[in-house]
Amino acid sequence: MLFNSLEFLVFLPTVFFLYWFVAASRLRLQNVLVLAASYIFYGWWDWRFLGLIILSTLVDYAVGRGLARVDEQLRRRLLLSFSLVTNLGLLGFFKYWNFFIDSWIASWASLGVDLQPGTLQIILPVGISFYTFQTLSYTIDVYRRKIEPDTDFISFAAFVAFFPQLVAGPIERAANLLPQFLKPRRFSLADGEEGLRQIVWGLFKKIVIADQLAPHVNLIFSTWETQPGAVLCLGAVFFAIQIYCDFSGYSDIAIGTARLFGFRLMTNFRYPYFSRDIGEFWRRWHISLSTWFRDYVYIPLGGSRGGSMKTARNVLIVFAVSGMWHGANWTFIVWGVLHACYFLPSILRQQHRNYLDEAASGALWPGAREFLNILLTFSLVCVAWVFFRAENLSDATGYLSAMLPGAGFFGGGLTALFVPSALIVLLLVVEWVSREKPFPLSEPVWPSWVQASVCFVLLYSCVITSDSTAEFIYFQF
Amino acid sequence: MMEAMNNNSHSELNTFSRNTLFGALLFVVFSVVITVAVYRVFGEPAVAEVEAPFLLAKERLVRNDSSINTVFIGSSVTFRQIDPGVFDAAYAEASGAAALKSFNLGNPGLYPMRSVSYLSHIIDEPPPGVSLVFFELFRLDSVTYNYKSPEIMHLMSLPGFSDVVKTIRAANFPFDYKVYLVGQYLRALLFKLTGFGMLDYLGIDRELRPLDEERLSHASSGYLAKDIELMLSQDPDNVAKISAIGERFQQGGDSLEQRKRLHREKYNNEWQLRPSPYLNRLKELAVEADGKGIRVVYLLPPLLTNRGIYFAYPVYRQLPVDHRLDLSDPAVFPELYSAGNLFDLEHVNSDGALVLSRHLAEAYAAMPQATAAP
Repeated sequence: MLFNSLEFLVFLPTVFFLYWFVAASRLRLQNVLVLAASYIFYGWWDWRFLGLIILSTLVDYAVGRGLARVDEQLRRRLLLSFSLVTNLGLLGFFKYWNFFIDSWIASWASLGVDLQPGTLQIILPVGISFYTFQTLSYTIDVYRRKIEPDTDFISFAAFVAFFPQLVAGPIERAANLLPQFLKPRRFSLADGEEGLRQIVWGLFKKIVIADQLAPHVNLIFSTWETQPGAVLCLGAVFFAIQIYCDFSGYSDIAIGTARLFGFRLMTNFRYPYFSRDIGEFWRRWHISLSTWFRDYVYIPLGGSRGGSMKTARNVLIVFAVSGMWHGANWTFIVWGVLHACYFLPSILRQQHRNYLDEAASGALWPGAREFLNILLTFSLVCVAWVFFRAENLSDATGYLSAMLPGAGFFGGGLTALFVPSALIVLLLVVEWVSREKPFPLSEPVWPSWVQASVCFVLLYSCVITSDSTAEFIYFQF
Repeated sequence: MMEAMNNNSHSELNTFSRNTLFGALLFVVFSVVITVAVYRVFGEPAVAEVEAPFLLAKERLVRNDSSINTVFIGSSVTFRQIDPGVFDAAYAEASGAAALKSFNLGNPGLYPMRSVSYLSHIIDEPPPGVSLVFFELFRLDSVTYNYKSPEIMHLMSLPGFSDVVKTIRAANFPFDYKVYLVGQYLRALLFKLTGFGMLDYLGIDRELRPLDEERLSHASSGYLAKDIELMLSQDPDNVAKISAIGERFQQGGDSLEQRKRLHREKYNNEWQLRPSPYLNRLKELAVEADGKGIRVVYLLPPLLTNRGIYFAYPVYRQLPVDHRLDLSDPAVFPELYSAGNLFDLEHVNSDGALVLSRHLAEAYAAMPQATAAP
């Protein structure tokens, strides 16, 4: 089920009503309801893949219980390995099987050997990368004795499948979300209103900005060979904004929805395009994934404790794996490695935590140096996005070469991009003035009729621009 | 203490629910008012902008060739089974005059309520040489999957919806099917009135699909039988889809006999003949067209499903005799119900199209020729 669908418009109030009015103050019943709603939400897309979520849930629940009973290190490792192999095995099979087979065939083909092993037509289950990482974080944390294993299967299953963030995150940590399933939840008017405002803002970003940019981006990337350089530059910027509004829009809707049910999810985006260097960008972009990789891959590899070479190796591994997490294509891996290359100089010089505050904190406008840093960081990110969006590496490099200034750089086609460009400017202005709040509509100081009018206008703009068949980009990951 | 907190939470929940419900209702009212105002101020796109790009591309061909004097309007039934070349030659043979040059404007999915708007558009702004229009009577379909399409949005004004509902009421359908149909159209109306997709609809800019381009390249007179398309199409999805339909028909068993029986028995049924906006519009358009020197002939095709017959046959019976032709009688046209001439249960194949086009030409040649006809 999509957040931006009519089905969800019926689903959400129904679950809300049952949750607060029928199952009210009965914690177990509320958790059962959340679990049932989550399975319906997921099964709406394809019920057959519910089996995968249930399998992951059963394995990690059993492993968690096992870890609670076992003290011997070897047996604990075996239990953890069982969970890792099962979860990563499923992820690897569904997401990467054909990629590895195709790469294997291609590498033999480059040596003149023609292999013809059959590849399978494997459907990628929606959200598998998200819930796999979420459930793994639970098992690893139990293994590390950071959290106690859950003894209530229903609450654990509801944690794994929690519908607001099931298919595209934020990837929650058990330490944050699981305890919320175990204690009674009270409805608060402030939370409810804040949740609704965040949903409205997320829908606006997704439907009005991301979906309106999508046709332009698709056209520019599919015809890049014939487009002038200026249009290609705008195409890269459009994609940067599209993927941001699409993904952060989903996160906003997820966080807002969870809040309606009394849950607090972690922040996933904090105005990433106002970052002043790449380190800051990664502290603001897809925070739940980057911290996951930091805690479960980078630090276990040794982090930055083993000298420059080891640090560089670890950074490269984390970013390459992060790229790979996004999809089974070399373009994603290059995207990750490129970010590693951007990030390495600052981490090796211990300057990757230079910017921990907001840009232009306390001022309306950034200083010239800060502005140039923001511009440079955004440009680097856009270059990397070209790899992320392109069909293959040769398209990406061709696109980037064609972006370079030269004869015919300002060819035709720019006027058609005026309206979407204006939309982007509007978004950036609104986000800039709101950059110290979690999202622009958060905790407004305006009178209630102004708040209501702003929400009406944003929602109405969603309605008139809607194409309710548009899916979220991050579902594919 | 705990109880006080619970009471407090409950009252906040009630306030939130009440405010949200009120806000949602207010939002719907707000949306409808703004949407209706926008449509009033800016107007809606014309039929020639919202219709299927494939049909409009064909219409352009007709407008650019003034030698074409006859067109066939209808759904895939028309598109797949009336071969203009065969029709013209057969008419020349039957009437002794080579007076017709026809073109097939059939478009898959052009169901009654839309097709009548399209007919109206053709009569309002006739292509230069056109003086004879054949119009297929078809089943009244639901808009299940298409309620967001520009064609249906165009249909769904308040008067348009009222016409649809009255037409459904007048049809010989079972009550539950009528309720289902009204529900589907109501959803389409609400979709439009609340402004969903309005921006795309008002700034409509539809492109021809590659499959339509391929069809146009193979259908020089606008006609393309399914078996011919199956041979020529380079689109693997299209080939798979058409093949599957053909194979399903081959395994169909006794369905063809049932269809034949249905079509034989329709002449004996006690039909309730009720006027409807659809019927009235067809009658008006025939008169309007006569006034412009264009003859409209309403055609009852063979192989209609039971719902098609329940809807189209009573309409056919109430149309003026000099404006209608019946090609659906299995007793008169047994070849059109012969398995060898069919591709599936609703469309003849190219052999069947040859037979049907000839019968149509002969039947038309045998009609009393009004002065308007070429």
